[in-house]
Amino acid sequence: MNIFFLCRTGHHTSIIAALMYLQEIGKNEFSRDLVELPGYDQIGLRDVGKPFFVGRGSSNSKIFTLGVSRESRLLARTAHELTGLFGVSPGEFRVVDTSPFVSRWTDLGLFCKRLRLKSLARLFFYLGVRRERVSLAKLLAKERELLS
Amino acid sequence: MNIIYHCYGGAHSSVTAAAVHLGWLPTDRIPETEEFQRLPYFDRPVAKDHGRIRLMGKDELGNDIYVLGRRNSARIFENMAQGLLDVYNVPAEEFQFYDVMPYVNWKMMLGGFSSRKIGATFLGRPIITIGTKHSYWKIVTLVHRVKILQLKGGGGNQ
Repeated sequence: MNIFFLCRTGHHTSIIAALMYLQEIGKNEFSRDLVELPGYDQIGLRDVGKPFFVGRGSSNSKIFTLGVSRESRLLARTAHELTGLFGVSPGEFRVVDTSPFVSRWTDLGLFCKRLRLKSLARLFFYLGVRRERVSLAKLLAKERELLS
Repeated sequence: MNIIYHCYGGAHSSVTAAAVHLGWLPTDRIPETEEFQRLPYFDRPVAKDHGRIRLMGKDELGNDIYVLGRRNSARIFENMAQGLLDVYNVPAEEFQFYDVMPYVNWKMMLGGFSSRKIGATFLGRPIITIGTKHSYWKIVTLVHRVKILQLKGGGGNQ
């Protein structure tokens, strides 16, 4: 199965969720600099939408992130339909939308990133991650229950 | 091969392009108003239909022709579609995506907004039909280009 975590860019909230899902970071562990997290904030805004491979989960599932800007429902629906046209069975494709959990700090960080204010953006992203982690942990607990 | 014409709402320009591709609309004259209004999906989809890939038919070469409304996410959609092709190891030649928005004029936008967004179909539909007629040759040119690329055996998304 391929699991796609969605967020605005596919390289912020969804990366955190994907890494938490893979248990590569804990919900309380944020002493590590965000810069060290594989894929975090490593995207040009023109590349939003390209799936990013994060790692392999249990039962050999592949974990990806996908940027969908503010159209998560629309693009998730399109992705489902597109994979159906590819001949992929519904059980092989799963979408986890982390967009509802994107905090205003992360949004502010993305705004600063657009203005090329890197350091300020990073500060806001760090604040955003701290705000999002608890709700992401709850989301992931639900997901694991659904998948098991 | 599967060809997907996409635009904002999947209700006007992409439907027109697909209809021209399928031979439902002429390529030697501008269609009459009734010919547009007889098209399936022309000025019919609403917001909850956005994101749905709808099959219009098969062309003379056996390719499936689809339309899609993706609001303002053209680039994101194309990035996502190309990325998913890679993830699932689907040959890129099997799916072609064509953005019809560059051929949309302000009349089509105004008519589409009036008809689909605020529900004033009596006002919006005539405006959108006039607008589509004004852009008609550009849409026909796009479809001709698509067909030439198919005959050359290729690819190339827009």
